[in-house]
Amino acid sequence: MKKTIQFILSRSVIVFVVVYGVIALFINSKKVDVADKGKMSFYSHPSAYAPLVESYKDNKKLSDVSVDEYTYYFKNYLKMHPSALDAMYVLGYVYANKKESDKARTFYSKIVDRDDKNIWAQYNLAVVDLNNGRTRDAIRHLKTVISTGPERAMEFFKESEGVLVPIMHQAKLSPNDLRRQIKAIYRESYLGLILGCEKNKDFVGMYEMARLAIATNVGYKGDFLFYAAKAKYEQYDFDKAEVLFKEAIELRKDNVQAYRYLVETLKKLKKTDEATNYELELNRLSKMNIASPLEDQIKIRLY
Amino acid sequence: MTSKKSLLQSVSFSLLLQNPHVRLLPFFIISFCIWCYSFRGFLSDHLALSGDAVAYYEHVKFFLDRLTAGEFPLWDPSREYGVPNEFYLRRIGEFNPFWLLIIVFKAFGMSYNQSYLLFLGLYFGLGAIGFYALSYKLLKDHRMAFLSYLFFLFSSFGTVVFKSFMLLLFVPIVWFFVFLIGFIQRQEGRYLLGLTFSLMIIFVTYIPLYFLSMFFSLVVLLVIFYRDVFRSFFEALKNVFKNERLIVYWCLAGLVISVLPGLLFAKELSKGDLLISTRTAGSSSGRLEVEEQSLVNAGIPVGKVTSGLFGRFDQFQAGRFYIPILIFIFLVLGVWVKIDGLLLVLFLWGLFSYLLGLYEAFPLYPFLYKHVFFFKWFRNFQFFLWVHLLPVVILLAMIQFKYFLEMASGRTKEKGLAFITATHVFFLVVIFMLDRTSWTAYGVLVLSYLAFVLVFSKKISYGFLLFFAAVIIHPLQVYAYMNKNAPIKKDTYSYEKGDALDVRLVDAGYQAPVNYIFPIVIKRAYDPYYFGLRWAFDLKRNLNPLIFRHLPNSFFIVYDCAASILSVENNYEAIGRSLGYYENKIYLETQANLPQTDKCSAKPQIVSKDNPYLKVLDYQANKVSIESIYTEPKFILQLNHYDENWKAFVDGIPTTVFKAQGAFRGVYVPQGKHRVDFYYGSTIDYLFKYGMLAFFLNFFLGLVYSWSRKLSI
Repeated sequence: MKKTIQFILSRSVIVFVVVYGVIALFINSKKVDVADKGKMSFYSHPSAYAPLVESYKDNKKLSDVSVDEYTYYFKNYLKMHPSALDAMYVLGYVYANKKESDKARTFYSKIVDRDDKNIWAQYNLAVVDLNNGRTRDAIRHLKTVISTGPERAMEFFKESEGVLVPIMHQAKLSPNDLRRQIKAIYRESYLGLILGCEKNKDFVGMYEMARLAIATNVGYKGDFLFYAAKAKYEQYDFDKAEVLFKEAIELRKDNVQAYRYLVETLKKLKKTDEATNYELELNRLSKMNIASPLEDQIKIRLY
Repeated sequence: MTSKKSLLQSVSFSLLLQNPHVRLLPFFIISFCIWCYSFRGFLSDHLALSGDAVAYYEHVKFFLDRLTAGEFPLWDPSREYGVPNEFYLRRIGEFNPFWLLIIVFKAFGMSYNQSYLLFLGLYFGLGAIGFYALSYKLLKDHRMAFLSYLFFLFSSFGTVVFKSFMLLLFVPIVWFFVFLIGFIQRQEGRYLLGLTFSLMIIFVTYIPLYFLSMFFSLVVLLVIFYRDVFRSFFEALKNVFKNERLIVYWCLAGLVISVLPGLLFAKELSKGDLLISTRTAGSSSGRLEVEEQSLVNAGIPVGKVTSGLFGRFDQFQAGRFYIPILIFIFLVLGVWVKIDGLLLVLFLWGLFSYLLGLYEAFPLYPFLYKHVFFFKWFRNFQFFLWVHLLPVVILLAMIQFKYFLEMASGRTKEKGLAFITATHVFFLVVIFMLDRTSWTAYGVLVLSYLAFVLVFSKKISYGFLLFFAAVIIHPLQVYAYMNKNAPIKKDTYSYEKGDALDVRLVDAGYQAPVNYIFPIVIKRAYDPYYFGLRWAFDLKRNLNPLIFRHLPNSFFIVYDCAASILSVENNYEAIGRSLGYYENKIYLETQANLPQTDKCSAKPQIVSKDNPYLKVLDYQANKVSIESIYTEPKFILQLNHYDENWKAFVDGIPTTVFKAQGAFRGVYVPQGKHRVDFYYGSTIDYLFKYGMLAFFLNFFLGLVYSWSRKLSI
């Protein structure tokens, strides 16, 4: 028996395991586990972003399975690079998708505090605020967006080599794609401002914003004409509203809401025959269940 | 006489053929050809280099291009608006004579890319041969040493060659240990030359601290377990000093000289004018010390190491840790073999680096960081994984394999076979349970089992042939996957297109773009460059990045007006405006009174190719010559960084080089026709560099000569 024990204890692998076992008692395994998990993402960089980008592209939302890994990874990244605005940006995005608005707000705010001209963060912060009923704050952020030139928005992506450049690379996002996305941010910011003004019953501001959006040429002119018209309608300026609603319908013939308001406007103007004609068209369109393509677009953006 | 000589020749030739190492030569050639085939994607320039390998490719190309053009490049004007080249030279170890092979390959008509990749392949081969020699020293059996060599050759170190710079550290380190053991055993001057030359290469290559950490930890272990080694070493030194005194002096000189570049660079860094990103993150002062490292930041990734060893080989990518799987069978043989001092020292030595790589998760690194000065100077301990842990694991496994065979030979064949059968059945189950394993893994098991049976049946040579095959077949499949998964080279690397020293003159009729940049000053705590000058970092950290978009590297701009400033700090707005809006005013950091003119309202002149007033006569890394013909005095700015080592001469008379626009080089030129020459560095700098290059080359040739007289390991 003694011989057997001696034999076993003198075998190299057994000695290695025993020595390592004793040393391992002093290894902080929690730290190893934590770092290891982060390292897996760090080392497969930039493919670590693949699921993030892929799930975003396919579903327009993050995959629930991997969302914790992203949170973990970017938090670690932020520990290494405390001033990495891009890591904060992605964390804000991740938390917003996890419906943890407060945390998302914290990260976007941190970016805005350091760089108030960052329209990506300003826009997303506004969306978080809009979703949480903080309309006044949202309007403030959106006003900053529309008063800031697009160059900085491009620069933010191009210079964020640690996080956003790999994401761009992974998503095969060209500078032209990015420019289109920036234009969309402006468009949606105008829309957010219009909706915010409407909520605050500020119809003068609403009309002004719609007019500015059209003048700035951010696209979707038909929709913005509709909002301008709606603002005029709410101000009882039915003549002007009629013209604008008609222009809006001319540009977007499936705008059910524009038809509805136009019918109401014509009725207010006692143009009953014309109202009936438009009402027929409205009934036909209502059956087709067409959603507004613009309002759905105000949501948290990664890019 | 002739017949006597030919008889001698035939006898020595037949003796040579009896040398077991020479008899392995065809196997070396075949195995290396198979490795080249496995890595054909990289070697043929079809797959892209990645990570640090790209930067090293660029540094080497720039260095060799300039060297062949007749200058030793101390300044790199093409990177980040110009930087001192010393850091990049330290990275590659410019005095390593093996770099000159690339020039030789090019002389035979190969392109730079072909030459560089061929060099990488051959240098890796040299490292693998060194590993063979080291294994032979420890195993004292040429077939086992060859098996060890195969494990290394087909480990994923080969992938790191195209992804990192580990090769530059590994090759001299492995040869150092070969020569060191040889020196202790043989007590000959040629070994001392070899180990000194390896040390010299290690000392001139950034960064020798990995080696020092490995070396000192080994010394501590030897003090505990093998104190006799030191006595043998000093005895060998005494003998060589007695018989070959000149060699000892020569080696001593080599060692002293080789530490100079590192020390000088460290001194330069400590001045604070040179910043290395991440070491000095967010700081405006250069420093050698790095922050205490954290495991999340480039420690040894335990999960990654282990996850790369088993299964999912279809996702294999360069840089993943992998050793041919036969190694695990050899490691398990340790259940059978008895531990001894050698195994224990190797195990503890490897464990030391592993525990270091755990950073704050184990008390070793925090202790050393606090108490041992040089642990404050380096980071990225994951490199130990490649230069230390991987070779140690292979050596451990091979020694266990050797001990196992020795033990088995003293027992009955049945007993040995029973153990081997049990081991292989165990691995069969493991492989079966692995996620997405490869079919060649089963082949390895079959070949390994047959090889053991043959060895136990005393058919040792045939047995080893099967072991060789068992090492190679699995990596062949794994590297086939890697070739599929690796990114194909699409873009050219920097410097690949022509000469890096492209004089930037704008086309005729160039109009400076009218910018609207707002705000001019944006303060950001970020590192704009990986390496650069302090004022360059500061300028980029303080100005709107859009300003730099229209300021291509090395542009010449001629100004009429100048303003002197005492420091840049309070003048970023003015400088940014001048650069961004092309205002005709240059801001010079000087206390001198500058000549004034009333032409400030006009735009400055951006020098175009057909400019009749300013011609570029010569443009090299360390030298720029221009000729100016102006009717008024002018201030000439080159958008290349200022450094105190730049000197300027107008018609041969020294003139001041100003730090202009916060970070660039500016010079005052009087009216009339003048030649302005800018020179970087002093005559002593160049003499030192060329002297070092000649010394290293000379030392290497001496080493080759000493070994050509008696070739045996």
